[in-house]
Amino acid sequence: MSYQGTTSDSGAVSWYLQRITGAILFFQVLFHFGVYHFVEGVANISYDLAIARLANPWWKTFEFSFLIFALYHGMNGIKMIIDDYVIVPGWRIAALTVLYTGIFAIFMLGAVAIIVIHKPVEY
Amino acid sequence: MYKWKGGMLSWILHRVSGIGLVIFLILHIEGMFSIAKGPEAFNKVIATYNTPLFKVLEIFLFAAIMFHAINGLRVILLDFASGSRYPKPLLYSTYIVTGIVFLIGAYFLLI
Repeated sequence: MSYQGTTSDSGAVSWYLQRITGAILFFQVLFHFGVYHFVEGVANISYDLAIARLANPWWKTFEFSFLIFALYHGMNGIKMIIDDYVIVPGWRIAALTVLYTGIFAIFMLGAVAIIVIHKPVEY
Repeated sequence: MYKWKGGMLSWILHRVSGIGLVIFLILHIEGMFSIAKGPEAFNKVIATYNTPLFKVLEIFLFAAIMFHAINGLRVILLDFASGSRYPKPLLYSTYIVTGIVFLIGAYFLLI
């Protein structure tokens, strides 16, 4: 069913990584959603709270690894769907280019927010 | 090829929820980037997240996350653990556990 292309990529590595990141994300997303939606509630989240979290190395590490695992897992999943349905090589390359560029751009936004921000903005 | 079998519906739901979660993830990261622009910009995004429309979307988000997470766990058990010996009970329990967790969670999100 999937595109039998000329690429040497058998998909085995991404197949394993999809399951490994999925297993990690199972716990990370439950923690993230549990803390922000059930324990605190979206109504109680503020700039001060977020800044305090990012000042803590443990939170920073969690948020940054969550960003990487979630974006990789999502990107890999969309790539599998593209491999299945976009079988014309030119369109496939175009779709993958849009995917990789877009994910890289959004990763940069997230990385800047998590890594750079560690104290309140001075005015 | 497209013969309707037991795992087919969950396969489709996994892909559909996955696409939805990727779209959400992109919008969410873009929204949270506002922390780099200062308190006003960030708190404005949070205020948007607290509107009634987003409260409804939160329920759908929760449903998509729970199905994708629990069904993903089933896929891992099928591939790496002894889940392939009990495919049917594993499939049914995916829907049952997702349903129970969703109903309990949705109750606490709405009160």
